[in-house]
Amino acid sequence: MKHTIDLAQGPPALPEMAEAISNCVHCGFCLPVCPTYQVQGEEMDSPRGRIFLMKESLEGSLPVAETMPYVDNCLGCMACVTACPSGVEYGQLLSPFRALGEETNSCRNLGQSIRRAIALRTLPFPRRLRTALTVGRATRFLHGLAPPALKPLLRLIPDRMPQAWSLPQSQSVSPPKVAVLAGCVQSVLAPEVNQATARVLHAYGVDFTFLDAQVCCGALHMHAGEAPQARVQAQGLFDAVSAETEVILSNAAGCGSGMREYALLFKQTKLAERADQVAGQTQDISVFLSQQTAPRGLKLDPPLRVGYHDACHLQHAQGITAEPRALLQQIEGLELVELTEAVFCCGSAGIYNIEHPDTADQLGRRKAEEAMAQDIDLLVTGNIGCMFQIRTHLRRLHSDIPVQHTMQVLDTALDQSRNP
Amino acid sequence: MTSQEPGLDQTQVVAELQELVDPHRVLHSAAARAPFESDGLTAFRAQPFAVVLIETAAEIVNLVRWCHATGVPFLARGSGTSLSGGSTPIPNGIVLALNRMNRILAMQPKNLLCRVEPGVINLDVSRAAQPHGLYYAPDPSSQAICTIGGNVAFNSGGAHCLKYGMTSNHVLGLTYVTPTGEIEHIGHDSLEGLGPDVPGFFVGSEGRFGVALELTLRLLPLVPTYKTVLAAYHSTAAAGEAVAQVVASGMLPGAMEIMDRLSIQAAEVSVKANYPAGAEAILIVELEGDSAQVSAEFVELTQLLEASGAYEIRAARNEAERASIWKGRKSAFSAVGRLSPDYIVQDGVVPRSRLGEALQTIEDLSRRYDIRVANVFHAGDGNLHPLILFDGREEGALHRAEELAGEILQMCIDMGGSITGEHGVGMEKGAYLPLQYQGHDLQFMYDVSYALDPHGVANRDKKLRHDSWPLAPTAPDADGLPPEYTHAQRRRIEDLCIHIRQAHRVRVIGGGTKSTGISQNPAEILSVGEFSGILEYNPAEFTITTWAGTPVAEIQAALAEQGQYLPFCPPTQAGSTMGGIVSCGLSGEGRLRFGGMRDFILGVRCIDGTGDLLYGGGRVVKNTAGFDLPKLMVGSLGSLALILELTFKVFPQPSAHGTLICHLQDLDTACHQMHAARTGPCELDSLCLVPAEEGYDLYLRLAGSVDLLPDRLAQVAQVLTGKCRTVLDDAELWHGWNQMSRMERHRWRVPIVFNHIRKLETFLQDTQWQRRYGMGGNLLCLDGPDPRAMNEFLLRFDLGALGLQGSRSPLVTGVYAVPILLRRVKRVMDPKDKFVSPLPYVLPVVT
Repeated sequence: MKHTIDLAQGPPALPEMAEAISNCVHCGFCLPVCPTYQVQGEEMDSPRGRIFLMKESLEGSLPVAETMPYVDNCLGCMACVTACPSGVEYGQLLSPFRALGEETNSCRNLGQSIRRAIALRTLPFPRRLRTALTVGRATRFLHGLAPPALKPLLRLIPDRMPQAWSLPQSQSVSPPKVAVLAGCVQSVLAPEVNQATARVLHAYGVDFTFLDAQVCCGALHMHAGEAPQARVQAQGLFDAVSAETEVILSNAAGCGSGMREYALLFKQTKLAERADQVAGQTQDISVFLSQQTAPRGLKLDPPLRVGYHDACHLQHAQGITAEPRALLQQIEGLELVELTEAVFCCGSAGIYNIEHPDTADQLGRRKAEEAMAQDIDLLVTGNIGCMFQIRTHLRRLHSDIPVQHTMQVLDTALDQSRNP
Repeated sequence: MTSQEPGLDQTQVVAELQELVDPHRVLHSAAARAPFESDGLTAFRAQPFAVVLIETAAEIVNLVRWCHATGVPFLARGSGTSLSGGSTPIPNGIVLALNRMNRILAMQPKNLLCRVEPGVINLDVSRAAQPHGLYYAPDPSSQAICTIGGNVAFNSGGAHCLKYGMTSNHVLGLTYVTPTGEIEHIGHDSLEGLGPDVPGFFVGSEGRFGVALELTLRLLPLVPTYKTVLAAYHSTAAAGEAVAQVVASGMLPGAMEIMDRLSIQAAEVSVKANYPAGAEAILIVELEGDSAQVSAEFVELTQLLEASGAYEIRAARNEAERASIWKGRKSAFSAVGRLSPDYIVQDGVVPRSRLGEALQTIEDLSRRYDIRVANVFHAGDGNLHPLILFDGREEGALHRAEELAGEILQMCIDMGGSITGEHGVGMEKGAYLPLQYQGHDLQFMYDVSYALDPHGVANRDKKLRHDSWPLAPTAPDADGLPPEYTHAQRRRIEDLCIHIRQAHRVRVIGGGTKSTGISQNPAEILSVGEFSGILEYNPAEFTITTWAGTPVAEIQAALAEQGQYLPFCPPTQAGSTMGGIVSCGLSGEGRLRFGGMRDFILGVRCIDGTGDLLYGGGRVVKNTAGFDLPKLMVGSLGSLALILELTFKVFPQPSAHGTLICHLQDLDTACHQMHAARTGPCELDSLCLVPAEEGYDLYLRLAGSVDLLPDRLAQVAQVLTGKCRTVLDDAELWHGWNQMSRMERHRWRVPIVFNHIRKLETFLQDTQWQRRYGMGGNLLCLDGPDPRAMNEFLLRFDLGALGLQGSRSPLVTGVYAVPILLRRVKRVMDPKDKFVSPLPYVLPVVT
């Protein structure tokens, strides 16, 4: 698509942004896979519509504040990138544009702004999050009195607070080459995923260490357009990664995909080189494990019908679909079932379900119904956000299908292989 | 034609719209409107005053009426994927966004049809039909997102047009709102219609005839086996030559597509289709049918491709590989976005045998303009898609690209082709339409458009541009007649024109086997019998152009000599002429498989009621440039024009036929078995149910290679419960049903659907009338009842019928009303009602 963007002035990522616009031919092949277009049926809420709007803003003919609501409405699921025949790197346009929006004061409604502020100031900070959830649970009897704007946030508070788990460190003499990111939200809300990850890595014979529990990769901020804070968080991670580290494993799709985008985030900064290096070292745990020799005798007894949900930040943002399936399929007694709308986001999408609860709910419900229609015993995914979102919606529909992380299933299979 | 100036500003328009529909669904902010400014062709942009997100048909009707009343023009938009700028908004108009109108309203698997709203996505129709063993055949490359409404507006094609035809072949009927606000239903649920093919005329009108509210689509049984073959060549010419050889071999693949080096490269980067490396061109040929037939054809095809110089031949081994081949092809347009920031897709059609020459010319042009051109094309149809690559940011680049595009279009016309095969004229080719149609032919289109939309509100400026109106007067000596017309014929044509101008009433006859007109009316009889003979027949093109007075038998013989035929097998009697069967709209039992006469007629030259020569359509197999006048001639019963010349698409004749006759005891079983057979293992050529002694006989006809017939017939017999016998030499059997001579009583043709059979037969079994439920349950042929009894019968079942009796005038009886659209066209073509016809036109008073 032709544009008249002045490349001489603007954010450092402007050339990449303009490139994405230029590559878009407005063919519409992204529309059928875009969750917001499917739910809302409006051109403005489609990838091609947003690209058009961002182009207009970057050209200067539409104020950023007017286009931001539609850009904000994007889940950032990147399904459009997978579908795009013209190779538009939508993500390279979206995140920097959102950052631009943050600078120029966007126009969210009050409720969205409050929820967003709370979410971005608690979620990525494990101590704060733990405190917030504890307070939230203790004051549950007051939730009915909370302003409507806060309700979507309060609904996310779990019934049961998981026991905190202190991350084990490597016992080996030489510093391990493999570091694992525990994930800020995940360590608080689902420590069992990290526990399972640790056991699986042990069983695979991998010497590893967890990065410090307080480390956050900054992806949540980055994808929400809060670039400066994202950089602060990411720097913390850079510091935590030792010089001996060769591979950084992520067991949360959102984190892994965010880390692999560091290059653009740090473009034209002093840390550009370090960002590049860390981005290059980052790998999703499913990709890493699929290259290792699996322990023998992985099995599930009784056998289970297992549905696999592709987290958008795995399948679309990183193109990872085969590896997690391969890991699951090596388990005897596991029947892998494909979901019918695998391409669609479940509505979790970082803090999207906090900012846009209505759209997120529609998508979550759709995904839960899809899982229920398949008559599965277990739903598996590779991302903490998806786990909670789908679980919430399954329970709302009175389904008791458990939702687990790929590592948890592997862990169970390992356990059963050892204790037949 | 003048259009009313809107006179309303944006604030007023928005305020009034908000009164008419939920204000939340009236988008009017700059940001909300901006993404609607363009469709799949971003070279064109326009700002509408407002965009209305439509949710109900009633809203469409109200808004169209409002537009008609205020003069504010509207665009009905589906997914906005037009490649001709057809869904570019009209400046200062409004956009009716129909993508939320995406409900499939009814699925009738027994009747092989479904009803959908206009915003339903093409692929979703097939998805919904799939559990019933059915699918929707037209498959434009954008099928995952383009809407049925848009497909209908532009008569979209796709890769499989060669065998299955365009969108119009698969639209049985529709309910729409006229630009002046009337709601009407046109067409039937049956494959066969009554009266002129009005839905066929509507399809491809690019939104100028109004907005479809609900569409009835034909569904086909799922293809049992596909064999998708990919052949790589060192030159495009060699690939093109291979296409010619496949055609000459008598095979009829579902699709034949060619991609050149540039487009292969783009597709490869885009979807990693794993096309052969280093190919200058690849040819994709898809065979389809039952597995025995496909396997046999595959062997033949492979030998042929090897001999044609393909350096690599691959066949998809499974559905995933097939999908990958097609994904590359179908992503090619958009993938080219990787090679160039901007491009124009062209859509011209040339006679298939001149493909090589056309590609050479394009290459020369590309070099001369120093602009890269990638080529992807439907080789089987001669439908080119040159992608002209340019960078819109360069000064004058768009202009030069457009100039190059113009030269390509001129080349297509010079070769006797069309400026558009499936994308439509839209905004982009508006200036070129007058290259293809001139003088009265073009004026006819403007007149029809004006008659339907006097305020010019419906998708104004698409297809027909205001700025090319009024037309430059055509030079008096340029009558547009083709060079093969002799001097004497030209003089005779002039005579006929004068006669029509001077006469009060006229009746047209061909062979005199089925006179048209009501005999009581005094009218001058004009015969076209002397206009007889073949004007142009090139077997390699699958087209034949003949004089209207040519006996059908003569055409059939000429085609048979080349191993071809008219697949709709028109019923004839000695002396039946081409003009006569078109006028009566007679398709025979062969209609079931590939389509009826309406699906095979391509072009017509006629003299209308003003005594002027009028040409519509073309001589190539794909053409969506003008309004589809030829379709209107099918079943027009002489009411619109005197037909002079006709062009038909023809197909290779199957090398052999065989019939299975299955005897069934009772009606219920017979109906059940008939349905089972239609969705059974083999693609049926014909299928009909005939009452017999003690029950019913089901006749199932298969076509194909002679060696395989017995096995395939046996396969079909396996799904049937009745006692079957096989007739391998079945020509006489079917020929008998296609004969109409020596009819002592009326023969009635009643369009029906499969689900009617049981109730009709329950009634008819007590009569002495001879009957046959033909065309797979789409046509009831009745011999016996007199017109009065017939009328009574038809009214009882809410049906209409065409009655033929020897040389007497045909009768239209039962339930039939001439649609508004047709009445308005009649007023343009025959304003003084000169053509006497049995069709019950009620003409508005002409002042």
